[in-house]
Amino acid sequence: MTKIDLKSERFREFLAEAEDILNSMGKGLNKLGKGVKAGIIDPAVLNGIFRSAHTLKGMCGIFEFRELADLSHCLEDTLDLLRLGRAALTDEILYSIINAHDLMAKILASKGSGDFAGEIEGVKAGLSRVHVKKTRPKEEFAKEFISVLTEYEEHRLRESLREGRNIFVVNVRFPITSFDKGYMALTELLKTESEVIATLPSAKTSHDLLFFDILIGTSRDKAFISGLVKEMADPEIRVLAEPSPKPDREPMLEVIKGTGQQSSRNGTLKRVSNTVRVNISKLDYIMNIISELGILKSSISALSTELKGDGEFSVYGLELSRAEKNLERKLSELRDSVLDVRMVPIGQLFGRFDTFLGKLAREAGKEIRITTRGDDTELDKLIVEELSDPLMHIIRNVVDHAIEAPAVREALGKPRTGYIALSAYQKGNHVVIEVKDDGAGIDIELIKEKAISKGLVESEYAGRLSRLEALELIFMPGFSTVDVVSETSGRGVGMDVVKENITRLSGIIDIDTVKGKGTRFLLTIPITLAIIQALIIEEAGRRYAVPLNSVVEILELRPSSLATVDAEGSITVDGRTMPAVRLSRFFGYPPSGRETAYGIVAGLAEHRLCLVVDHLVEELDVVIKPLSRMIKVSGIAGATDMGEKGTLLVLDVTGILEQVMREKKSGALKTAGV
Amino acid sequence: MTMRPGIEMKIAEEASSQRTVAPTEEHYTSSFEQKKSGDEGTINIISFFLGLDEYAFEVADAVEVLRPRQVTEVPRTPDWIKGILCVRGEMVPVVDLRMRLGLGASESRPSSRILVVAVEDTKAGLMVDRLSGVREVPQSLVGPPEEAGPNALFTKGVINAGERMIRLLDAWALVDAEGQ
Repeated sequence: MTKIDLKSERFREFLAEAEDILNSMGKGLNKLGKGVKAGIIDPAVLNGIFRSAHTLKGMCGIFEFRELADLSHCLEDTLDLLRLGRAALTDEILYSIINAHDLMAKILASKGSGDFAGEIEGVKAGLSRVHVKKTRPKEEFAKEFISVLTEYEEHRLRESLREGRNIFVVNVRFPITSFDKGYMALTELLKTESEVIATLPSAKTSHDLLFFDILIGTSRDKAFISGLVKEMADPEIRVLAEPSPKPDREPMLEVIKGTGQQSSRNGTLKRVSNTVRVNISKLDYIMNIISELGILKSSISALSTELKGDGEFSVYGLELSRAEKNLERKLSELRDSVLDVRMVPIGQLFGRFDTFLGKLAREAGKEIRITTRGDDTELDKLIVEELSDPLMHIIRNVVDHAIEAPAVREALGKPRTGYIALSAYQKGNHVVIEVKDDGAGIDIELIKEKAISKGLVESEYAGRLSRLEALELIFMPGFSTVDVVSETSGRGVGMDVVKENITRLSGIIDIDTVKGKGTRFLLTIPITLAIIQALIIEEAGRRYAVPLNSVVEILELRPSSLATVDAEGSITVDGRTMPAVRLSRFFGYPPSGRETAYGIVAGLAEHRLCLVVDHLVEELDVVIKPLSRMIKVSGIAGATDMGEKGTLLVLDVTGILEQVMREKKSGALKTAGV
Repeated sequence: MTMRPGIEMKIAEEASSQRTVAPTEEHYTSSFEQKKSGDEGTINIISFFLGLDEYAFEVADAVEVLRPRQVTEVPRTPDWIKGILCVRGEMVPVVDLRMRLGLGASESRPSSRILVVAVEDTKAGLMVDRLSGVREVPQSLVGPPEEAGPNALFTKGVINAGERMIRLLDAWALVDAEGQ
């Protein structure tokens, strides 16, 4: 393997950029795949994919990332033949291209470690199976242009004619100082209504003007295109060819003179995209400052309260408190807007599954279609990345285990094509992601049998497990219902990894299944982990931060109150019974022995837990930082720095909830304890 | 033992200053920067005492030296993890090195310091009784580690410096294997 300095800033940038390119290539492949099915191939999409491969090849060359360079080179060759129309885009070729894309993503993810030589050879063989058509003899047509066009441009010109579109030459001139902006804006505009086939520098010259001939193919007529671009550059448009009712008519040539003056007055020359790439660690740094400001603000608040109580300075106290309120408002605006910057639509992630699923289904010999909903639901960038693996795993499982083979489905009276629906929606401070299929559903009895045969649960307890408890078994390490290890799932990792990943994000998984009808996985994930509103509590002399997004309600527990904790460790509030745990006991500290206490009812999705603590202290915005890799404690999500007030541990309510449930069930399950 | 005169002098200075005031944190941290790489055939070490025994890390493993401060206890962790400390925005676990090496719990004393070491991205703060100094040691003086003993797991060599014996600790073993 090539030696690469993994730490260097440039290499990191390369990785990020390469990832972006592969992402956009993936999106292009999606569109292309749909196009192939529908029989319409958008040349711009094909060309876009080709360009991605080309750019990637160049970048990999610079970084001596040979495997990737080699593969992208091969891919580029195949795509080149396709975009030039010298080979037909068949299903097989599309599949090879998708394979190449996936392998490149894999190589990139390995950051240069790992050996992919075998896989690369396989993919390259697939790519080379492209059938090259015989090139047609060149026709005598619009010689003045043909001679200077590249093969691709010529191909596009012919295709446009064949499809019966008008060919125009837009002759424009731009001041030499700003021609790039003007040109960009004009082509962007033209692209909305036409295909820009080629741009040729014109023979005309002037000391301060640049002339271009832009060759376009469009289904609009000349008047329309003139109208479209008049505002922009007021150019001169020439009709090179118009399709005729009779196919053998001579191409018509017409020249229209215009005034030709680029206008920069109307402000449309701005670049369409105004984005800045920011390293997420820089945003983390801003987050840290915001949280420090929050702590400073709370000391100002304490000072103003003190001043208000002081007769002599109470006026200043009031003033200070008013100023502090304004500061608070601005701070929360600042926090929200920085959080907003980190948000990305989950569609970015959903899009990846489209290609991935096609490949999986093909390999498993199944027919599956996927729909997505709520693509624009936003989540923290880091969370979206962390969700990729668990979701991919769930989908793999659905393809392998849930969706039946087409023949089986027909026999069951279901449509041949299986169906997976991915959807996302926001629910308070959380996002719910749903993966729904119309497959076989999960057979609870089969799950129990498997768990017994694998020694995960004693047979005598298995009978007593509730439906939900039995479903939980699929998340246990070592559980897999298929004995034959398929190529996609069953590589020694299973749903336990999914569970672990989701738990790490302070999220929770629920399953809903109907035998024979299908299964629904519900992932409830917090929108962000970067900065959170927290309730600072005190228990047995130690302070902790509890994320407010998981707090449902707070109870005051007095010895006489109705809500008391029974011997089983449960509490009943408004007729609803939930497990209750004294925080000090959970952590193994001696409790303070106070009589009054507070019950923090925490909940995620449908689950509830009452956490009993001594005091409530205050509410604060805190930035969660991970504890060291050296320390892993369930029930603690991380820590937050409070400046002079020291460091506070941030509780992971999901972790505590799961640990409590697990301890309650430990009689039934042998290996669940971690 | 061959040492360059300048460094010898500096160590002598450090030794004398030790009697009156402990060297400042900045003093050590800045010397890490200068000593990251030794000449060929020598290694740079930062040595310290746990009780009467002297130990050392390679300077390349060390990040900085902190005065003892309040740490935040973390429940459900081994005894030798004293808690966590926020160092420049990063959470760093503080380890009672004596306890980790099986030498009993350490006591806080005025000369106590927290030596922060790093292995790749993982940092750990190690509580030491007294810092001794930063010096350059010829590779030839570094012998193999003791085969048995409570801290054999964490030593990667023994430096025979005249009458003194300094155990060279393995930061990888201390940071990486911990908590697993």
